[in-house]
Amino acid sequence: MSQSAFAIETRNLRKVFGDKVAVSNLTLSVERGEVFGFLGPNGAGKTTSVKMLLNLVFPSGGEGYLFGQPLNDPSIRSRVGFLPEHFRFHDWLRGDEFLQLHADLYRLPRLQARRRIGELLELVGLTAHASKKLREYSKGMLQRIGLAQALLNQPELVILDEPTSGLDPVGRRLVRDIIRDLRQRGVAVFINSHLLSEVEITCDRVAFIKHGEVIRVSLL
Amino acid sequence: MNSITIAKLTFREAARRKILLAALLLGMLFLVIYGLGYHFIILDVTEGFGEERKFMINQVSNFLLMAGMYVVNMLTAMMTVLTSVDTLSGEIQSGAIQTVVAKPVRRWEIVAGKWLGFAAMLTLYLLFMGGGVMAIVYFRSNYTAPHPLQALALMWLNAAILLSISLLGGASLSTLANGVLVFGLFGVAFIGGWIEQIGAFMPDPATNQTAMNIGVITSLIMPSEALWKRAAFEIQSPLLTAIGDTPFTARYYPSDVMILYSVIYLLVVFVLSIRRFSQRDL
Repeated sequence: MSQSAFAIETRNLRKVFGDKVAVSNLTLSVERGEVFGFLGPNGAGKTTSVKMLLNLVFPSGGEGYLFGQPLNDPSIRSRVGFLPEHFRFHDWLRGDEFLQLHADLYRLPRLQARRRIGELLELVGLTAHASKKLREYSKGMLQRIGLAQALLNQPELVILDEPTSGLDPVGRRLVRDIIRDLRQRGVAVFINSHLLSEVEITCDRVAFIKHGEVIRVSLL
Repeated sequence: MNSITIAKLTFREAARRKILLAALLLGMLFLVIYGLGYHFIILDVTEGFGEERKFMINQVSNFLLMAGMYVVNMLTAMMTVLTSVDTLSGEIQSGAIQTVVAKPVRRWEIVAGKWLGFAAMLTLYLLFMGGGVMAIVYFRSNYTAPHPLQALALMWLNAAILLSISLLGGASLSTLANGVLVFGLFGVAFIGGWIEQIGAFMPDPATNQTAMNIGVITSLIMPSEALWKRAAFEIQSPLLTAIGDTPFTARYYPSDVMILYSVIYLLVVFVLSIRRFSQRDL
């Protein structure tokens, strides 16, 4: 296991799509155990940055590391949980089957996975809906089960892309409580958001991003 | 192994979306209609011929077996393409692939898993349909084609090539464009094969040679029709082989080199699909 002090570290990370620069120069570091906000207006390059951290999008330049390991090392993602913006899924699966699939992808042992799935369904308030197909879930319920799949592997870093999108006030409160609990357990949380109020409530530090570049990092 | 997890997911999706059920029910309908038709034709042959009855039954059985297998080959190809055409492009477009790729999974494992899942499905379908046609003929007339397993293996290879092209297209194109690509290639091979076959009847040697060249070139672009013609050759009776012309086979059947080319073609397309998916942004 890497001894890097940082959960996330990027240097001059850049992404260009054709002639459009989505991320021009992303240099930031997120310490282990801190809740880090990534704030910026729509179109600032936030989601592209998150996708580069998870190897969904390949950088055009620069370098990046998770726990000291390069972004393109798939094994490092066993220590990471991810909730994408506009969460989509295999909607013909039942809630518990969906979580089992993702537990299998994390290669969790069967018994451990079963116990963890039960705990997480309880945590996100979906135990009663575990045997329903995902296509029957409301938008808020989908966001909750998405959050549950991001926590299956008891990650050391959780990346949340607009985590409260589609949630009602109770759901938002639940997300905040989960983030608080993760912080207490020493888990680093990287929150991508365009809502200043949300970042202010939950984060230790915040980076402001504009035109694909960090313009300021502040303590909160 | 993550590929097995993805393969199971692919198979389960087909079952859950009732694709397997629809294929099974329509396949059974096809076999019932084929069986009834075959039964009454053989009944007529049995009553109409004297000492040559057994010979006629065998010839008619062989012809009808080839006709049945021709349809099975087409249906297997269609089912393979229609079920797999949006598996990558659809999940890329919807974003469902993101939470999968963000796991400790290598991208090649996703493509390989999907390939395995669909390959298992098409294998079962081909065994059910092709085996069903052969079983009907055997149990009704006690007739067995010369090389049935070789024929089934070649038909499987044809479907596996279509599956690999479908995955390569799905890693690069939208679902609709991918469908156009795969069916377009299938159509090119189909028409090339028929031009070759019809050209073989032309009295002018130059026309004959041109038609053969068109057939060879289209087989190199897409070997599906060549594989069917070789599969048909494997099950046709010695008499039809001696005559040399049937509606299902060419006068000059594709060689072992063509089969080897098809296997290499399959491997190259499969590797390209992995490479394409591994290099693209999601």
